[in-house]
Amino acid sequence: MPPVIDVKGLYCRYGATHVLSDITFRVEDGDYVGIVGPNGSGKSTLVRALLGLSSRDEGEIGLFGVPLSEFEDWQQIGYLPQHFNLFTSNFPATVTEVVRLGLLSGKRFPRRISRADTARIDDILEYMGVQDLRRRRIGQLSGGQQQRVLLARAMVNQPRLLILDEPTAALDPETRDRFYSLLAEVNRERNTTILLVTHDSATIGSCASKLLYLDKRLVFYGTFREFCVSSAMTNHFGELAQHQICRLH
Amino acid sequence: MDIAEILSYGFMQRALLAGSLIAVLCAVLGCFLVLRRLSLIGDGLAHVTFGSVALALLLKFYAASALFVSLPVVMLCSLGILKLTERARVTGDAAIGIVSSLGIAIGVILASLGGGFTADLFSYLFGNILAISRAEVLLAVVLCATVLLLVTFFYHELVAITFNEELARISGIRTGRISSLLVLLTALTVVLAMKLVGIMLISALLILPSSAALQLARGFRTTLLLAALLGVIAVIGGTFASVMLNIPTGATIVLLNFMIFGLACFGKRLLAQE
Repeated sequence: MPPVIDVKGLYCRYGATHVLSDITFRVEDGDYVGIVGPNGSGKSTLVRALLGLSSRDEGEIGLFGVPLSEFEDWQQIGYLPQHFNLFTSNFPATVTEVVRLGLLSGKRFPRRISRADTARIDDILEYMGVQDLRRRRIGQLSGGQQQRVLLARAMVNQPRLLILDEPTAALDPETRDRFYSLLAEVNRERNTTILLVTHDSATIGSCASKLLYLDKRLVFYGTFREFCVSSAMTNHFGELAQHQICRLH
Repeated sequence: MDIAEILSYGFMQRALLAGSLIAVLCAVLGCFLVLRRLSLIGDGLAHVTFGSVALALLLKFYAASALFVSLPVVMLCSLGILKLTERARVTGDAAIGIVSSLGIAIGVILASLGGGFTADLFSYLFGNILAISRAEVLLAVVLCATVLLLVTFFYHELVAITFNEELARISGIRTGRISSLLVLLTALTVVLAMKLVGIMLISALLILPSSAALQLARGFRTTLLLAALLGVIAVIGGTFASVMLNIPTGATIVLLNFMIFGLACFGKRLLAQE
């Protein structure tokens, strides 16, 4: 089976500033990868490059064994971008309508919604525990509820890969922990490969099977256990900081 | 003058029919434009229409034939607004302002060069809903049918790019084409409807009914339907009121639209308190 994501020698820059240099890594089927790193380390740029939303200067990106430029099977991928400014607050769509938008990637023009699709929407809303909100306007929901709905939108096509860019940034610690548990369950029960961008190296360590530490270049890629004994990370963080992160688990 | 008597006049029947059709299509397009923060595009393109009509008159394209010059120019400018926002990283309102001021400046220069056609030019700017001819009613019917058919056909795509353009792109939607479709339909509506109802009314019909519906409606389809209904109510109510009170029709329709918007905001607050 080809890797879900295969990145080789990726370089990205904005103007004259190099944002990412020489990034090479593979994500296999069923992996749960946490992408961590300081502000401005290129985490979001990497995710956007993987999805073809921002251009790359050099390097190759493959999704499910297909070069990104030829990739069309978008229903295999669910994406949850950074929540800030995702949609206007007075957007009138109901929860059901927002989740329905997630089905469009699996359809060719003219995209019509069938009864089976409606059943899939009901199923995913129930799985996410937001079935009671289906008739509410998305803008009227709390941050945590909106995030669950947007995750339902990303998952309604039962994608093989779920990419999430700082999905918990606006959530309180309790809601954030519940959200992480939900992702772990999705990864475990549906074997969905997850790529999650976060600032929170310590919390993601307990959920993700692998960590990818970026600081404009790839500093570390491996399991959390390897992370805790990695000399690259010791050099980067200092022994004390590395110990403090790993001690939490 | 009672309602039956007012309705017996041919000019009133034409005004109500054409005005209602234009209100429906402006309200529908307006919902997408307002949510995409392009609500002033109607105003901007109307200014470009002014410039393009001045060009048409200078090139001796008079009356309806001015459309042959105006339509392609305004459509190109609508795409120009889109390209400015995409490529030059200019925000939507700034892009509209740039194209709008350019359109009006060119219009003024051409009007001054052309000399004697200012009356024709200003009839495009201000229109007169009570002076609509049978041919213009037919034009409104065709325009409304075309726009509504295309919006129905591309409904899911239009909603997807309005919600979030990047998510729509990852859903395999050709977002550039759908955005172009939206601004081209808006350009078509502005050029054809401006002669009928004038610049002020076009802008108001694009923004106010959709903004009022966004206060109250739950669901995208409901919002579109409610906006269309509120637009038609304002056109019919405003036209009757203007004839009864002997005041300008376009301005009365705008005022009624504003009152409906005010009521919608008040209604939203009431609903929130319950």
